[in-house]
Amino acid sequence: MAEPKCPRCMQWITPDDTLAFEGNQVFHLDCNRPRDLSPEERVLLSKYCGGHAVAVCRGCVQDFRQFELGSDSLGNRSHFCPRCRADLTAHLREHLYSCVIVPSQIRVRARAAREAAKRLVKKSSQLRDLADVLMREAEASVAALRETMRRTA
Amino acid sequence: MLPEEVRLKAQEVRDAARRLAKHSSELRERADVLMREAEAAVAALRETMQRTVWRD
Repeated sequence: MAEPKCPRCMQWITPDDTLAFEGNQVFHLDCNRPRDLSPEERVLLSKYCGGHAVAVCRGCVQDFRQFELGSDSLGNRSHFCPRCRADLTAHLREHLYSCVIVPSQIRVRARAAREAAKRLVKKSSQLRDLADVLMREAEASVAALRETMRRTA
Repeated sequence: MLPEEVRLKAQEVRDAARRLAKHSSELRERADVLMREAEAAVAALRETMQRTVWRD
């Protein structure tokens, strides 16, 4: 199934990427860090989750608070384990959506926004596949006509 | 005057092109709806955050 491409970086957009919209275009919010946290997720984490552990590194069996996580501006990476440098962005996001300190109304909205973006990417791929099938059918029927004309002319 | 087989194939081409055009616009519309839904979900989140996060 072909996923849509980001018009900025020309890389595939996957359902787990963080997206931005402009007109009829969908693109990576940050092409260098396609799965990075959205500005809303950052605000919520900083507002509600600054005082407790937000990510667990399964490899190191250790949990971390936000300020303890590694960030590497040159390498375009952030939210990684300070010990083994594993990317913990997904854990941070998982925490945000399940943290009971974040008001449930906000958590529901935040999850809904992420799921809508995921649905958009998945369905876009399906629609593109369907359009491709129709295009191939149209091409095949033109080819069949030409072949018949050649035979009967 | 056209051979039956050619007429048939020409008709199939026309039908396939029609189907392509019709479905393409439907697919575009469905993609637009999904896009609007995603935008609306982000707008709803921002609105809720404005009401809730900055109130405390």
